[in-house]
Amino acid sequence: MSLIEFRNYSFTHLGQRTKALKGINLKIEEGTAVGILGIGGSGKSTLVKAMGGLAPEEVTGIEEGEIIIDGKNSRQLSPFEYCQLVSVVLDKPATQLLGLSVIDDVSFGPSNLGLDENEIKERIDFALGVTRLKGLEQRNPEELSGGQQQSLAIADILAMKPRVLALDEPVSMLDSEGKERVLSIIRGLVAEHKSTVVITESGLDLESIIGYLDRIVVLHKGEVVLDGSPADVILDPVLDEIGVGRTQLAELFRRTKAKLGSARVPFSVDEAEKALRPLVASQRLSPRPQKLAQAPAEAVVEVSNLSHTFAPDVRALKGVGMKVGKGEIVGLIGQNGSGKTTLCLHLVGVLKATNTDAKIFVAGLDVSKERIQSLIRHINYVFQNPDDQLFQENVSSELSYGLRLVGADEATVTAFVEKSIKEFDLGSYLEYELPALPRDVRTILAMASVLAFSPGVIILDEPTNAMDRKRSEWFVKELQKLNSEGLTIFLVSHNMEFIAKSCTRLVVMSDGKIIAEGDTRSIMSQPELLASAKVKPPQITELAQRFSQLGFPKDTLTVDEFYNTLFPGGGH
Amino acid sequence: MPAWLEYTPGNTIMHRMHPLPKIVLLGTLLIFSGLYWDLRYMAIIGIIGLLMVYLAKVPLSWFKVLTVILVAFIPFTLIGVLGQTNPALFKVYPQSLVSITFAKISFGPLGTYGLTVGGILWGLASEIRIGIILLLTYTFIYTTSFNEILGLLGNTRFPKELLFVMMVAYRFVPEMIRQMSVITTALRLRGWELRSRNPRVIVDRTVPLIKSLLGLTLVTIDEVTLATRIRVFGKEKITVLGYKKPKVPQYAFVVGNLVVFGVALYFLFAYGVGLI
Repeated sequence: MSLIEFRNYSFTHLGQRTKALKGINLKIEEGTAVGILGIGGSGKSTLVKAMGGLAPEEVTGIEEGEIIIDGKNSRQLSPFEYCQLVSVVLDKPATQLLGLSVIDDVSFGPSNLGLDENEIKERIDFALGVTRLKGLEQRNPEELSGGQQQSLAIADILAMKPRVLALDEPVSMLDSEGKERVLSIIRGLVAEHKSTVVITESGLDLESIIGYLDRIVVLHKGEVVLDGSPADVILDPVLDEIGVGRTQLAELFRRTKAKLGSARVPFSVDEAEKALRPLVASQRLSPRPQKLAQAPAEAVVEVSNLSHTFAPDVRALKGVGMKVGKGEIVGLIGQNGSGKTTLCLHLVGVLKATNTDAKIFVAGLDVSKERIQSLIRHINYVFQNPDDQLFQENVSSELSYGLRLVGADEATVTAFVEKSIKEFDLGSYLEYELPALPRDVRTILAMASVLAFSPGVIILDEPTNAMDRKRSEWFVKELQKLNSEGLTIFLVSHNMEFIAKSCTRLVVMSDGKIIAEGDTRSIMSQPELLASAKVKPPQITELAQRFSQLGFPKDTLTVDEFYNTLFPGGGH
Repeated sequence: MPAWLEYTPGNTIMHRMHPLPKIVLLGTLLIFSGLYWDLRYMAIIGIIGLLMVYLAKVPLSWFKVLTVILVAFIPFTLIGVLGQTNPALFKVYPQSLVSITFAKISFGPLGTYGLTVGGILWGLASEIRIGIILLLTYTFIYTTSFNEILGLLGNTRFPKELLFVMMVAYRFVPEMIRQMSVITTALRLRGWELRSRNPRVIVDRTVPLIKSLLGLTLVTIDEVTLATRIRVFGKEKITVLGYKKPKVPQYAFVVGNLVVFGVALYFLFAYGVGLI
């Protein structure tokens, strides 16, 4: 008997005409790890919420069909019974944080189960250990970084020890070490404790999770379009058609399959190395010389000796200094809590340095002496959570909002709105209310809105959260287009594939300090440096570095580069 | 940095105080601050309040807010002050004192308004009351985690629905302050500023803040509902980590407090002790 079974299940959100889920028939066996893939708006989050018993009361709408959990109709289960069976972590983890300290938050769930104190302490210890939150027990969850909050939300439900953990984009905000840690424990829960895990994913973190999955179900427009083993699903062309895409290793395997014989599609760099080594060793490699990006002569952002201590004694930045050249696309990378967002907020004048000898200049202006309202014509910032900076009802009014605030004339406003709708492909979303937009579209809208003042520099903080691969590729092209028109872009992201494709230069942060900066290729080719910042290069880069002794360039950044090095003539 | 009206873990004597005697002590002081008008008695409660915030190590930044609130209430207090011109209203203060008049104007059927010592004493008592309420609230919220309240009330007949409301309240104010900070930052990055010489512009520019605040209220309730649902809040038995049931000394303190409270109430109603 399946542990969870959807029987012809449909769900329509209140106020929507289209069904979010359409006649889903799906069985999930106990002790398995199932990935639910799909682009934004495909119904993944709705499926998870329905699975967790949150629909239709908390997530209001109309249900049809049934969900059977452990042999019982979900509508007959009490909230207490339900929570022992299925626990959910939503895609906005901060919404689930209740406690006023980390330990209060984690203990809240087990407390409500009436367990004895020793059992509660054990569960807290386990949950905090797994999620690397030990030492932060007394911290206020609101003061944690986005990734730490995500870890805390996972710790909260780990402490509940449900039979099913349903995780909605659980690793999107985590650094590489955080991802591996959480996923390996999830694997342990499945293997040792027969827990069932359901993970949703839009596509960009697919390479992190695929090795941990027993099965992948692909949703598109509320329907199941693929269901099978990861090895079968990952090579199916449907993934490209719907925009989810495939991992770099899977793409490389697809291209080299004919030469690899009966090898299985690799999910990890180790597997890929084993499969490809004989082929690489037998080929005459033709690495193309890569031109390193030249540092521009003119710096548009200059920072020196910047420190920031949050009360009472949290040192977020420790004497940071860096320059961003005009016309660059610079990536800021580092583990969760390394100070990336804090640094960005200083650049736009939102935070002030806590040391008197810090200097921050943007376009020649001393940021400490300027009002934000004048700085925004030179530099602006798109939040990690785009909802924090969307204020209007629809796309057009949001785009026009900033210009109207400063009293721009109607012609200017109209021209900007029309240009932005066309440039950022927002035309099909004009009728939507903002909360109904997919998250990636909200991010793009937030970015379009802050460009109203034509700043010379824009900072994007984790813009690819919840983006699928197709959208992400479009986004890279869009950023390159804006850059070619003169915009300097400062990108904060954990997604190294996106960073590698977009950025000409990288700044690496660790523990409040900048530990390295330089050309993207030279940084990516230093795995020890990246490891010290708890960052991993893209899988294709890591794979190339495994073959460096055979002549493979360590700074290979894309599947095309890898393939062209291996088969200079195209592999025919 | 804790937001205003946000609990912060600590090891002060007020943090370590069991929630039961803490609630009783602060509760009785709060009641007296509402009943008393005599400056002498209000001063005593005020000093106790200041002592408790000192012991609790409440952040100094919270006093800026306290000052702003006290100043904001002055116009309203002043209206009351100017209306206290009739010395016969005062039953306990000496008439010779409260009738000292600095200025007085009669508005016929609308009454007589002016500045008297009685009015000033009344006004000071009003303002001190606001200060005391804030000091006691600061002490309680800064030093009492919601888990302690849950431990105290969760396994009694106290309605879970009310506990849920308290949970929303505990979260709402600091969440509102943090989020308002994020919202004003985001608005400033779009060119917004509240400063203007045109009152209509100020009102227009306040609208997004008010809309966001209303939205935040609904969102906070939704989020707490979702989070408590996921964590199965509302079951009969709750075990709160670290919560210890009150022991004899705590019960003795509570009883002693209530006895003092009872005696003081008696003297208040029987002899007007604390009234003016």
